[in-house]
Amino acid sequence: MVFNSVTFILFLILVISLYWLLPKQIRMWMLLIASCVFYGFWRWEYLSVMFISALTDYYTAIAIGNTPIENKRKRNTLLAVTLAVNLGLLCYFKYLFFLTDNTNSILNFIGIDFRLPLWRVLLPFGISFYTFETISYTVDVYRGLIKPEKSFLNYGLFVTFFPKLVAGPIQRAAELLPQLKERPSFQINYLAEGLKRILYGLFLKVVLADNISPLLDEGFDLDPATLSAIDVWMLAFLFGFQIYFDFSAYSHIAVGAARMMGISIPENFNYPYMASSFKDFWKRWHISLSSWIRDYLYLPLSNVKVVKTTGEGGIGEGLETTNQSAKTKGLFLTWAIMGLWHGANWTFVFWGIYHAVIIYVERQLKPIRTRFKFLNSYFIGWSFTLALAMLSWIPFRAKNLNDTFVMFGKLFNLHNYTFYTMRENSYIITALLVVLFLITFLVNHYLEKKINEIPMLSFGINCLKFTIIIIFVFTFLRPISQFIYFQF
Amino acid sequence: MKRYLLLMEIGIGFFLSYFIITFFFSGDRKFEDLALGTETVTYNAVDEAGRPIHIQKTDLEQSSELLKAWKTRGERPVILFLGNSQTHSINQQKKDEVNFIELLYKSRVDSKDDILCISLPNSGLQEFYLVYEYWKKLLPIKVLVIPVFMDDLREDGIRNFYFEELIHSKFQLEDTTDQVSNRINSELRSYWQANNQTTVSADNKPESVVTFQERSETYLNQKLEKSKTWINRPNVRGEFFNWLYRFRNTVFKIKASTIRKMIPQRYQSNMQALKLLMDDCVKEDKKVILYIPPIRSDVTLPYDKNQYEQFKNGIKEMADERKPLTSFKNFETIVPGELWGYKAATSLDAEKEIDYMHFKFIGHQILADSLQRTLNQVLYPDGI
Repeated sequence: MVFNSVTFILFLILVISLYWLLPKQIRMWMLLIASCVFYGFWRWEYLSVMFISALTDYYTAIAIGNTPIENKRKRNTLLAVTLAVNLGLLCYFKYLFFLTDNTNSILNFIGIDFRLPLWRVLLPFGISFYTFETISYTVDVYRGLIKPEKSFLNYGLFVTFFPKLVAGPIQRAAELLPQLKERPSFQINYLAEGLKRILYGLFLKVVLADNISPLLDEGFDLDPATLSAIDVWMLAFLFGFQIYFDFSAYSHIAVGAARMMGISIPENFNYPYMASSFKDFWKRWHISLSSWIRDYLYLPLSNVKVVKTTGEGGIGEGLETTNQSAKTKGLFLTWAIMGLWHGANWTFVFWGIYHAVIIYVERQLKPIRTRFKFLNSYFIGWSFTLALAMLSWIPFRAKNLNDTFVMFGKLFNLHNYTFYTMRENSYIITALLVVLFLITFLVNHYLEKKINEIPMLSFGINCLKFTIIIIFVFTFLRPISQFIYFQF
Repeated sequence: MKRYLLLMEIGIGFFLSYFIITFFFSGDRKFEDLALGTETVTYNAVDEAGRPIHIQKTDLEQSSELLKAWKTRGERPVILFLGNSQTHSINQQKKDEVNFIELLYKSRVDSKDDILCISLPNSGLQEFYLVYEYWKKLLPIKVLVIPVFMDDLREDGIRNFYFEELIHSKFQLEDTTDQVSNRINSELRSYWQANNQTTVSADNKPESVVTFQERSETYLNQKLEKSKTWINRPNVRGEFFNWLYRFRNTVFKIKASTIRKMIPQRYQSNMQALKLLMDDCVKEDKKVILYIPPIRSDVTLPYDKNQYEQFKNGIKEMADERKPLTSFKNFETIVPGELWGYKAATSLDAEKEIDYMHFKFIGHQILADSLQRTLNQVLYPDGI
């Protein structure tokens, strides 16, 4: 079920009403069934894939929990089973075509006249998200950080909980399971806060992201060789905003829907385009994924022992003392995998490596920044980070690596800054978005506190704000496009 | 009290928005009138019995009405006019004044041919190509008449609003060897997907399976369409974008007379679409008349002079290369300045402004006469 639809609005009203009216045990079952219905509205037959992943982890986690720590071999085997099943599902549904296609290219390159059949499989929605959640659950049990959940009802609900099912935030069992088990007493504020977030999310999706989309489709459909450098910058910024509005909209609605049930799920965004470094950027963008990657990939690959995992990034022992080459190896491997997680295409791998290179350079420049203090100024850091982060969206959106390189190549020729190829509106809208984004940030961080000191003014402004948002959402609500992150 | 504050704010938001929506979303609005303003009237030509010979949208209702009327008149070979808002607009229209399509139809009512027209506001040549490819399967097109506006070469892509029937029937262009055709096909496909709210499959082709989501959304929308407020949403969206357009013009001091530069990529795509269209006509032995439409010539043109000359030469060359089936006419100066009238301003700080695109009824008469002569030359080269 897509959030930006009338169907979802009615579904949510029904589920929230039942949630607060039904007794506890029935409520849990109701939520599990509702989550399955939510998913089944897309393709009910793909529920089986989700349950294969969930059941595997449920039983292996219990088995790991029942196996003494000394019996490393059995515990490792059980963990391997979990990883094999989940990563196997991911590989089959997401990477099979990519793997066979690339294998055929290699065979062709070395002159072997043999072709593997090309399998195209429909990618189940949310598979990258729920497999990561189930893997993290079993790994946490393996690490001894949490105890296995005995009730399949509770565990199944942790995996299928509909607000975050299709596109996150990627939730940790330790954070969600206790909340699902302990229903909080009803508070009117839960409904109000949830509704507020849902309205914000719908506004970002149906008013902003969906209306930017045609401009981008047009730009990226053009032959990249004919674009100017101004076009490339414009497209990079515009897509940067579209994906931000689109994905943060989903997260707002997910957080809001859960909040209406008194459940907190972690925030996924915190003004990422105000980051002053790439390290900072990844603490603000898709926070639940970057923290997952850190806890389950980067730290282990850098030979660091993880002693605690949280939705905001776990705690590792030995990060400071691990050697530089292990950290570098961890960094590049992690980012290549992070890229591939987003999609089975070399453009995503390139996107991941691009981020790894910049983070690596940032690390290498640390001694110079310490020497020349002015380089540490927020403005310099922000300007560079914003420009480079926006450019990183080019491979993310381009059709292939060739287009990516052609577009990047445009930036280094001064002649390409003397003309433009798209309608003037595209440039005006992009510039306007940058300005409005900055104004929103400044208002939220500086002006809002002062406004809140005058209750009547704050009340009036908020009433006006919600009136405008509701009118716009009503006018623009139509499920004309999926959320971008559904495809991952 | 404090914990109810947020709920009160949202509640008041719902309450106020309800009244505003009820007020703004009521009444009858015509989408096509939004951009033109009140001084310029949209007029679709009809035959002697009041049946349509001219439509602006290829949707199920208008297309079937047009076809039905054509069949009733005897299924004669068709002279198909393509056009933009100049075709369907009359400035400061008075009672009984009609456009040049209807004038032409009436003057040829007894001929062996029928006249039909499809005009889309701000249509690029890619849209013309699509219109032609769709309608040639439904009508025996004998002559195709295409006005080529410099302005329209700044347009790009296909707008779903004007091609509902093609999207509904999952229409695709047959030529898949050309980049422009492929782009058009890909746009059409994306509209099916959006229309059906289908998921994008791994191979990026539309899914044939109808999901519960699609069924429920279709059902709910059918129910909601009983409400005038809900139906009016696209028009309010149109009004909002129109206001944004006028706001932009005000801020950047853009007027009708502001120079509009050629956008190279779009220019080439549109010219390529025109080439594909004409090649197909030549292949199928259909005659084509390309004409440079009238433009207000007593004031400075809103184009770069060199670019405008290059444009006219390009169109002429394209026609000349495909002779004798194709003809080229330049009508840019046939309508004198005083016959153009004015249009509602496209900015927020003025009421009226010079109109370069649309003229009064007498302008339509002059254009009809010129086109009549051209048609006769093309249809009866040896004289009537």
